[in-house]
Amino acid sequence: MSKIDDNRLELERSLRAESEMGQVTSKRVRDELEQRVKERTSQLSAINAQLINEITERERAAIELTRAKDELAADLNADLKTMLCLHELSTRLLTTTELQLLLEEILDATIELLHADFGNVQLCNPQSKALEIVAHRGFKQDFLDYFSSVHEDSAACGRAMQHRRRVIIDDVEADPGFAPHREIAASAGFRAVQFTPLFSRSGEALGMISTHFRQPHHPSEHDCRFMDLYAHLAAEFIDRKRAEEKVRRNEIYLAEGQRLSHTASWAWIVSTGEVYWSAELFRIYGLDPDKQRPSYPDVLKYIHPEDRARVQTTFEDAVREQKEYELAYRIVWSNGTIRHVNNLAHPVFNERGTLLEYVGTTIDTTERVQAEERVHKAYERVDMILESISDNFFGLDKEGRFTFFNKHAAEQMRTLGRDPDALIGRVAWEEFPDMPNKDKVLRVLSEHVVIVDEVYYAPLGQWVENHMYPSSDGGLVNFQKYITERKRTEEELHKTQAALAHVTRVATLGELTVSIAHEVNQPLGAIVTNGHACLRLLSRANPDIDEARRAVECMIADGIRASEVINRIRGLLKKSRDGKSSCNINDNIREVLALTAGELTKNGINVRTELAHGLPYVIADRVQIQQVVLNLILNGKEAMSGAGWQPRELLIRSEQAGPEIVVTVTDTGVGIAPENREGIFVPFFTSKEGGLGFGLSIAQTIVKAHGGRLWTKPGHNDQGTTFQFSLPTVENLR
Amino acid sequence: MTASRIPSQVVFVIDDDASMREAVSRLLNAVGLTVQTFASAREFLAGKLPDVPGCAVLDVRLPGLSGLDLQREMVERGIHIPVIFITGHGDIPMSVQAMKAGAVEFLTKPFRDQDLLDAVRAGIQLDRQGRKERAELAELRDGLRQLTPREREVMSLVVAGLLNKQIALRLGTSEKTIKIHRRHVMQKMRADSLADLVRMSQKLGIETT
Repeated sequence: MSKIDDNRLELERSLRAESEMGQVTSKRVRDELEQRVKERTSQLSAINAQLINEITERERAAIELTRAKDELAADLNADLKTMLCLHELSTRLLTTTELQLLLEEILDATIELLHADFGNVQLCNPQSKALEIVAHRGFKQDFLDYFSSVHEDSAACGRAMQHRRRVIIDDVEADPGFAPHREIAASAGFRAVQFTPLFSRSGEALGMISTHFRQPHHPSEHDCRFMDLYAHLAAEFIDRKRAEEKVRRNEIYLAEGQRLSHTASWAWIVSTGEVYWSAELFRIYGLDPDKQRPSYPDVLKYIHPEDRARVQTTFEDAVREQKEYELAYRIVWSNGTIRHVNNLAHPVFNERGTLLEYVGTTIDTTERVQAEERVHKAYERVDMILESISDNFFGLDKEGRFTFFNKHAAEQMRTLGRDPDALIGRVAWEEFPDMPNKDKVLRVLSEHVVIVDEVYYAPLGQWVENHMYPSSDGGLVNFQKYITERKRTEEELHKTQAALAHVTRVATLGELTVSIAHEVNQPLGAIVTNGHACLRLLSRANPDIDEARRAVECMIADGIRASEVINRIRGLLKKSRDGKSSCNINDNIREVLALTAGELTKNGINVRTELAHGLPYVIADRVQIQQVVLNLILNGKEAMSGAGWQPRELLIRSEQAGPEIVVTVTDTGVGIAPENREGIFVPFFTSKEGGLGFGLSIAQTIVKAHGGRLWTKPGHNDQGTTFQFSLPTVENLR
Repeated sequence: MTASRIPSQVVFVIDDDASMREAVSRLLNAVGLTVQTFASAREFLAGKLPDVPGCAVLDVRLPGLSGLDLQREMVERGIHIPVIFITGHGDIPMSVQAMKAGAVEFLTKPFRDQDLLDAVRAGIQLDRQGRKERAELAELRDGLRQLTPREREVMSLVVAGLLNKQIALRLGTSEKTIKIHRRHVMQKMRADSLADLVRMSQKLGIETT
């Protein structure tokens, strides 16, 4: 304004000057003046306008500033609230133990902070390394199922874990990486999401906090920073929880370990006299942890009176000299039970070398001590047994050196003129080169098999039986008994058995007398009749010489037949001397049948034979095998002898079955009850009146002695009985 | 041995022992008898037997059907051939059983040839006799069949010993009619006399007084 005033003043001056000068040029000058005034005025207007703008600007800025101030105040308030919240949560960290509860609160705080619509917290499963949702707000089951277990390489949250950085997706529709999950996002109702991974102090992945927004959204830097604070808090908490868990587990393991190994630990603080007892130690002492924890010297009263003095001395000496000590002693429980323990303790010093405490481990060795006692007793027992058995007992090591002689074995050595003590450590067959069973001894040592053998040892003049067993150290033990007596008895028995077999045979043949008579009478009858016929033919007026000759020829043939029958019988009656020879089983069967055919026919029995052709030979005693066949045939006949019994069929078959020949005798008789199938082979079992009851048992003995078997089973269609016996063929004799 | 022409008599020899069979056969042939041999009872029953007087020589012990069973079987089938048993062992109960069942003889081996021949001859004779009697009986039965019921009645009363007049009274007819009936009966039955008729009736099993 002053400028205008100045200008006006100037103008007035100019005007005055001018007017004083002359009014001639006043018009021109007036015009010039007006022009200049216009110019000046417009100039001034512009400046004015500018000024006005400036003022408006300044005013706006002031308003702006006020608003910003207000905003900042509001933000500060919000931040203050957040900070307060964080602070509160932080303090809660110190006191709350419920991880789940705290995570949920953090989640709620996060959602509020970010103004999100949904959110969830995931924890990393240490085993599967997958993220699992543990808390959520606002999600439905389908979402929870979809993301129930997420692995690092899948989904955006996986990405966040992988890159150890927050991942923000402004718009799920726009982000290509989120494409696979757009559907679930749409179903859940969110368009934007942020994932903040949580890591422990050591950098281990702990979990993730995610918040979701209905509309596309990008959280501000400021929000994210606060987010980090929350994340940090959550991570701290999770980490801490895990550490606590680990400690707790370790404590349990330790306690368990101590319990299982019956090891207990203790500590004795020297300065205060305080003692620490682990749970197991209470158990070892049989004390209640809630009641007493005795320190030294109270603890002595639990120790066995006989051991007390020693324990006391050892402990006090060790402490005085600040040394390690080890003690084995017994503890007596209040109920009288005795436990053996082994205690090992050592001193602990600080940097200055002052004794701080003694720490020790106590092991309950009761079981071990008892086991050792049992073993000791067992050894004593074994020694006692070995000395008491009447056998000669020898021990050899794996090189064949003598390790042990019992009383009787030592006696035997002396009888042979040897000193048993000097023989220990010497090789058996070097000391006794005439040892008859060296090969068997070697076999036991090398193959670790059990061998029982009988040998005659000339220097002793005795038969011995050796039971040789491999022992666990690679050597062998031999139980040896003298069996000379037994051998003699066996020989007698063998003779008696043979005699019995013979008697049975005779008795069996006795049953055949009727049959034999018939067999002999047939040819005799024919001979006589032919003789009569011959005489008549010759005394005819017209003698028929040819027919007479034929008659005589028949007589001769029948005479031979009769004598063959006699021979057969004589053969069967002969005392068998175990003369084994090459036999054709079919011939043997046929001979027996020839003898018995009459008897069988008399009883109306239809005899069928199915004897295979070309059977290999067997090595057998002909008489004995025929006795077996005879016995089976007679048994079959007996089974079908009931009055009116039908049908009466006897089938005899021979065939080859692999390495054996099998002979089958089947009847259609009364059969054998299943409970008797074993008993019939036992001597004295007979259902026959006047029977000796030996036939089948001897038959079985014979078959077994030939290396075969005799057995029975039901006959055809479960009726009647089948007996079968097998004999090894020549090539297959073992 | 089967005869090429029909023999006048035949002996059947049934024994499972071939030599025995042959020996017996030879013996019987030696005295001029025709013989047919069989190894078992079944063979015999299945065989075509000539219809001439004969007898059978059986071993008691035969495979399948025994000798005694065969004897029984023959009776059941109406085969009237007399049976002679030969056996390799003497069994008294068996022999008694056989004889009671109608055997001609029971011989044990070795037997005397004469004993067998005698038995065979007796057997054949028995059979001849039997045949004759059976033939006669057949004839009589034939005659009987030809009688009318009335004639049958008359016959039974005649052989009962009634006079014609009594018969006439009994049957309610005239004596003359009875006489005619009587004549017819005698003709048809081929009886020569009353005594004859009576004998016939007895044979037929008709009651007579």
